[in-house]
Amino acid sequence: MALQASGSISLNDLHVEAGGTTGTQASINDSDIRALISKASGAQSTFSGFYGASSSILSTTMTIGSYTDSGGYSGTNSGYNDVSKSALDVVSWGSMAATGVNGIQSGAIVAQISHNTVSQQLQLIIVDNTTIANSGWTSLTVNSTTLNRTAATFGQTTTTVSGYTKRSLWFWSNTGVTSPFGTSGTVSVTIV
Amino acid sequence: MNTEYTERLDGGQLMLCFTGVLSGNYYEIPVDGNLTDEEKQEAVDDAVESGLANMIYEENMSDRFTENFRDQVYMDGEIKRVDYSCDRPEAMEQINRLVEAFPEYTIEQLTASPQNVIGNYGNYRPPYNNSSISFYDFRTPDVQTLIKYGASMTTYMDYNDDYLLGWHGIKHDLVTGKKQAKFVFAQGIRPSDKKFVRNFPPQIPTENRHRFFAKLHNEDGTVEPWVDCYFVSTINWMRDWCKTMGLTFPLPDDVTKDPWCFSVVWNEDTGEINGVKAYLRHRYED
Repeated sequence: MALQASGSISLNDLHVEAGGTTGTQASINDSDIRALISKASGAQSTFSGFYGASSSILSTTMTIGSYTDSGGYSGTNSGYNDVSKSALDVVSWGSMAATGVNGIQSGAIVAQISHNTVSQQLQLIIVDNTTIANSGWTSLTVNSTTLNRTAATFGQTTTTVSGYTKRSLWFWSNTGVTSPFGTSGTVSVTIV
Repeated sequence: MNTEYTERLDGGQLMLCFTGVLSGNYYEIPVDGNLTDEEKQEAVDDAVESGLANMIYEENMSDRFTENFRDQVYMDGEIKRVDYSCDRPEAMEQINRLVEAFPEYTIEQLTASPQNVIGNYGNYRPPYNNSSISFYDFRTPDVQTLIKYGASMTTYMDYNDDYLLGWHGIKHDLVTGKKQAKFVFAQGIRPSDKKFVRNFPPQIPTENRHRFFAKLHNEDGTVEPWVDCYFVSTINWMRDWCKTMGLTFPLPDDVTKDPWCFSVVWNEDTGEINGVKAYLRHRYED
């Protein structure tokens, strides 16, 4: 969650937003706190300069859509897929209010967050025109389900989609036959 | 196979890093840091085969996958059956035979969707004894069909989760006039998930996403003990598995193209496996 847009902000607020534990020692020159507003080490900062700052790479909402292929072999996908970017499956489903993940890599976007009932896997796909490494973020939270990046199998593939030829995929197995974020409605999505 | 790999620590998590032999794609898999070198190699080799299975899946699971094709069904190194999509002229011979033997059908019904599939077979495996025709309807079975064969909307549900998949088959025994329904379903893999099949054969080599099951329901409400597990796998994986299990690999040596699907049939009362099938798909260009 982003820091407030006005009023008083404490050092503890900054520390917690940066991922620290409340009440523990911190300084305004700590690298994780400076990173909230992209300040260099030793540079002057003001508390008001942190208004609206967020450690999240992406904090948005997803309207859940679903798709069952007409052959019926491969179950139902639910979540979000932009086939024009992911080049996976034959249609798009769902939508996201924002998809940019510049904090991972400038220009990169989320092209799919989806669960499949047969695979029982949840899959995140980020695309860009240059290769996206398995780094730069810690976890994906959809609604109340948090998935750690390092628990996922990671793959890099290529596509012919203009502007998004590099596709990185993270998938988490054994997430159950039921989508952990449901099959309809709007849910929060956070990448930190 | 022994695909080369490197190791890296990512926030304390050991990742094995490698490049897929066929795809050229780069992968990282998280593994337990206590694995031996042999176990790590096994994990990487499994992941490579899994990647190949995934490629087979991606190639075959297009939206028009079930149109304009024939499936050659291999078992014990021989073609036991050929299925045709109902948009193929070859399917009409079986459609005409089926309508003649079972007048409740019309040709229009059976050919309503080009995705429907038909095939004839003899007594190539239990529980099939006579000349028969299978018709696969690529729609989720409606409640009337489920009830007619002794099932219900909840037979393949776990709490509110519906595991029934979007197609079903009707088997027609041309000698006895008996019909059976083949209902197709997924199954949760977490220990807490409801299990619809028993005595599942051990360690079938497939990436889980490509696995589903089918049971044969009789009109008297009974269910045959012979269960199908369909899954996407690779020739390498399945040849090794058949050898380990003492089973006959379904494909002859001269077939090197990966089938789109394998199937293992077992008796869920006894655990006996009575066959491994391979479905080799040929798509027509016309």
